[in-house]
Amino acid sequence: MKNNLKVQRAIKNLTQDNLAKLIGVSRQTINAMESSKYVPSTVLALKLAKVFEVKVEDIFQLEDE
Amino acid sequence: MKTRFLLPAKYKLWGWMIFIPFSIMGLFALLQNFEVQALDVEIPSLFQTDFIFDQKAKESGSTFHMISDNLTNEILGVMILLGCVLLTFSKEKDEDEFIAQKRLESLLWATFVNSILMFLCLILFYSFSFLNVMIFNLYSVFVLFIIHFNLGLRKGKRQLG
Repeated sequence: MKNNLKVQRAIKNLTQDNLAKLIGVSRQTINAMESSKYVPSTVLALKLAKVFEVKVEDIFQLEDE
Repeated sequence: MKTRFLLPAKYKLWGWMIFIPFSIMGLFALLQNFEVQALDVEIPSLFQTDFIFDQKAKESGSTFHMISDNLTNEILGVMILLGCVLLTFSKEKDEDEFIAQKRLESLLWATFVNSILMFLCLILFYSFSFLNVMIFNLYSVFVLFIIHFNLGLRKGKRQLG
């Protein structure tokens, strides 16, 4: 699964720490998601979409297997 | 995902404060056969099959009766277990779903490695030395989890900064 969390973060001018506090997770979680080491839960993905004001599919995309 | 069965984060410190001194005492008690005289008591033994060392059991012919035992080992054992439980089951300060997943991964790893240790114990130790080694096996799954989980957390934190 691909993600463009970093890009979305840059658009909103948020640091990892800011974003973490906004959605109520640790900075480690944000970092792990950005480096594709962790796939977030649906709830977390929806929260991210809300913060970035985009759709979930705009942040996360399935990779063609 | 909210993990159940977790204690508040402050208990982790208590866990360390109980686990470290009592496990040192426990090792000492095991190796030196140390016993606190004041803890010699008569206690009910629920399931006594040790007919070699216990004359009373042989005489009474039943498996339930009072035996004379020293409680040092029992108390040390319980306190070490308490330390382990507090360390294993207390939340992290910033517990979230990512840490919850790491926690479950560590638990699985610890159980797997523990089964390998048990296998080695079974084939490498016999008779009384087996029993002595099995004492460590009581706590090995907890210790393995604590090491794996906390090392994983520390590695994650280092990757950030």
